[in-house]
Amino acid sequence: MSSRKYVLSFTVIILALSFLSGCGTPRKNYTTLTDGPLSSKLQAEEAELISVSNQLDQYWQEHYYFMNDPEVEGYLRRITSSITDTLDLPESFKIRLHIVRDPTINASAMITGNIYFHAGLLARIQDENELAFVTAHEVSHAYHRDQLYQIESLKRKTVTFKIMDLILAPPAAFVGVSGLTGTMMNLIYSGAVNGYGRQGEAGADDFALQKMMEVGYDPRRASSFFDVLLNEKELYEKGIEIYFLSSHPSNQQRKQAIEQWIAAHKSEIEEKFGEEVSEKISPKEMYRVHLLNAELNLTYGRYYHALDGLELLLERNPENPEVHFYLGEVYMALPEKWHKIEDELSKKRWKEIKKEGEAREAQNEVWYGKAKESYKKALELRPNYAPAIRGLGEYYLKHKEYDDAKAQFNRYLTIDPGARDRRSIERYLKDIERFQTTPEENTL
Amino acid sequence: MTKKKITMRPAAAAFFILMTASLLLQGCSTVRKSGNFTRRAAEVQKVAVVDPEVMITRLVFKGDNEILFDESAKASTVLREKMENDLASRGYDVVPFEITPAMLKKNPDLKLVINRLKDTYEAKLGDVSDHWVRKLKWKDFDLTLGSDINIVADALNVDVLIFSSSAGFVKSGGEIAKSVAKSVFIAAGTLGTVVYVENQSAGQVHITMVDGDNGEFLWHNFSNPAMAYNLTKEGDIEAMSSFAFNPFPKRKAYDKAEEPLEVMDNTDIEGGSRRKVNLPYETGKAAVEITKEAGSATYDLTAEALRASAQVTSSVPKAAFNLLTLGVYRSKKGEADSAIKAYEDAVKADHQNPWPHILLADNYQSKGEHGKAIKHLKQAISLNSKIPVAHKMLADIYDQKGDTQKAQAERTLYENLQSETGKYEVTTRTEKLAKGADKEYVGYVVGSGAESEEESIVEIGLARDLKNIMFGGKVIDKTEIFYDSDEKIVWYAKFSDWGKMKNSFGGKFHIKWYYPDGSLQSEEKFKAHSSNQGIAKSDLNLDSSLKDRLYGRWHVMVWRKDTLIDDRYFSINKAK
Repeated sequence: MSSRKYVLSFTVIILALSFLSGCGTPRKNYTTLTDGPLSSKLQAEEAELISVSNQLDQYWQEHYYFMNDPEVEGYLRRITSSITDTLDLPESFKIRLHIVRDPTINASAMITGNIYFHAGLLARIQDENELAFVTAHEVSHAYHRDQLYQIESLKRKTVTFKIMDLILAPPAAFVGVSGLTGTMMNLIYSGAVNGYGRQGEAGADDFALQKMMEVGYDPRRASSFFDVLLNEKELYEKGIEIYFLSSHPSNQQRKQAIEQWIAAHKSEIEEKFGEEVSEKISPKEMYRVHLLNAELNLTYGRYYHALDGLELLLERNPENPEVHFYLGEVYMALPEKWHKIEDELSKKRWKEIKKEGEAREAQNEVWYGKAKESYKKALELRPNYAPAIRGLGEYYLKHKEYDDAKAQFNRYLTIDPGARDRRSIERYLKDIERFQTTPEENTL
Repeated sequence: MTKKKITMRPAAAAFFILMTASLLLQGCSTVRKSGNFTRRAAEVQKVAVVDPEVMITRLVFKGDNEILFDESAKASTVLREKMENDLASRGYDVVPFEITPAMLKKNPDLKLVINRLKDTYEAKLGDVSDHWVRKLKWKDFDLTLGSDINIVADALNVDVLIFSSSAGFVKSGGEIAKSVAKSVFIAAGTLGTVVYVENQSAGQVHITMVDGDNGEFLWHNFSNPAMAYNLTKEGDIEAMSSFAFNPFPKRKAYDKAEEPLEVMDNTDIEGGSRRKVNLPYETGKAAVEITKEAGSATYDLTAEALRASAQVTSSVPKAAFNLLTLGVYRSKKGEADSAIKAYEDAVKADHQNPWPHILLADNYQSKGEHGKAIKHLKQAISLNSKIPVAHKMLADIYDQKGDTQKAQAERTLYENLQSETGKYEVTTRTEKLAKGADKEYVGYVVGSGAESEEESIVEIGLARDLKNIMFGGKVIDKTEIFYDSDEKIVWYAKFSDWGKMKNSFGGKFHIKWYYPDGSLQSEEKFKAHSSNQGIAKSDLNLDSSLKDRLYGRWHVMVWRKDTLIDDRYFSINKAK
């Protein structure tokens, strides 16, 4: 596993274990930011945790993990402020928001007040009420110092776990299954930790629902947010978010708990928001996050994630050439990637798509056809849109239509003589010359 | 019986996956080559090593595993330097992976692009593993980092880039104690039939040669040495790199641009004989010969073009510079048409360089082809609007065409730029730089400026010695001139408050001197000494060892800790 993704995964795991899992301690005993001082032991733990959290944050900043978009950040800040304004937070405590260049459906909060919204999450949320729920949930984690208490709990469990590992090691080694204790212990440990997580999450959900009511967001939207998460499981197989957000049994229960809460506050909610569930479409600027998410999904080979996201975006932006261009990119990437698609999709969805032999070849051509169509649509909406011209050139090259490919690449260079990717276009042109004289060299 | 196994905490699941792979592949070095490798490798000449991604984790008995940030950063530097040495020993021209202010000026988002490429690279490593596990053909994978690679490859002027990613762990005392206890428990519990040994550290590395043209993975090695390398130890990293680099191909052949080209030496400019040199190894040298008078000569457009383009290794592709040189040579011989062809080829080889356009315009202008001359001047200005001569030439052409309004507009731009440049004209000064009656120095001043007051540096610059000071803060586009009669050139920094400076950064500097051909002449880490009374300095001795490499446009870069504080060019000419 690569180090960069390792850092991200590592932290996600730590945070997820911290937040989705729980500890034996009921949340009501937590010392929130506005309560009295922590015990000296916890103060030391907190200082260490802050130090590590800051290091990670700095690492991410230095490695450009965050999307820098003042308008989108401003939008998120406005929602967050509406919630934090209701809390009497210490002046020294500042909430800072970051959009993580990561396509998974995740959000997390650190004890330092840093809240991380992953592009994948923001791209799946269509309604501001849902976003307010996630935001309030994360603010709750920061406010209640959940990370601190969960790490503390994690440490206790770790020691127990490792001692058990020592005790169980000899019989496992004796029967010749040297990896047994490690694997089994991982499972036992993981189960134990996750099994205690409901209370902590329920507390944050409860807090979020109350705050939504308080600041004017319709809490009934929290329930539909869980539908999005649960639906992910139906669609995809892979992805860290599936493990932590959708396949976790407590998510279904969390949704039920939210519905119970809504039922218990029905009259109050209807009085404030009416009988119909409120709808507040996210602002237009958010489409940039969607495009970033599509790009990230493409980079990570999550082609259907990219495709699904773009089709959703297209419904609201049918005349946006960029959306059509990215669709073209996805369709160009899909052919020949059957093994990746199989890995990506849920078994059920894969069965619907799965094709063999000639049918697979035919499907490849369908995708190529859609790619060409998408690039052309993008160019129809924005003539001389250079990326789409390049895409079209690549389509023709792939299909050995060399003269058309050459025409597109030359057109690209005419439109943008100083193109930063000029070198790769010139390489294509050189390759075409070579392929035209020695066709067998074309392995593209 | 000896068994090796690594046991992970569940919280480090990702790391567990990595190390599970380690178990499977221990002692392996798995090389993959793309279908284009053989053909493309024959053309590869210049290589840069991208800062490796290294992540070292300490496994601890209680609580979370720790990411060792400082050790990881240090290991990254060691690994990069080692790989650079390995590449140089295989015959490649290694270009330092240094992002200069000039590069950032040209591509403000260069660092973001580099990080995006690193992200993509990490994602593609998953495909490499997949390739291995599924035993699929290389061509079945879309192993490319995409065209973003062009931005970095162009900035560094390289053919290929080496990407790498390394991960490893070390165990804390508690974890080691647990491993030992586990061994004892198992030995006792199995009555000695199983002897169990856990590694106390491990490390592995992916190394990939990525094509600068299209981002394709040309060559890849996933190396997981059998030895339990400890990445916090320099020797272990070097050993790991050697192991991984062992199958890396040697440089195959030279680039086309290296074929012999006829270029003239300095005497030829003045109508003397000409000679043949092999390029590009000799390009820098030829450029020096041609341009060595550029700093002091009466204005010469071709000399200025060559001088401006002479940053061979930092921004101008060598092939383009060769062609530019060839064009100048042909132009001087009066072969205008063949000069134009060379300049046009130079444009193709480096579409970001405005100077071939300016020289093309000059040629077309002399042939009376105003339209073409204007077109090329406009292209030059679109690439760099700050070149005064481009506006002047355009003004002259408009004058000739009778378009006085446009001519005046261009002339105004030209004059404004000229007056901006004028700020850096050499002047003289007399200043007492150090205490003591016998230490009153006279020198020359060009511009001014230095670092913030916080570091207490009030001047930085170059001097013939500490008696003759020429300084200019960060002078751009104006070359300071020295002569071969000088004994040495001194880079110096002057402090206003010695104590403040010591507290701020301890007076530690790192300097690199580059020959006119762009190769590193020397580097030095030095400290300010109180004996120099407020001045820190580093000398470049102009002795006989520099010989033929002395003349031309030198480059010096200086860092205070990790901050680049000076980045300037200066010329060494023949004394009149």
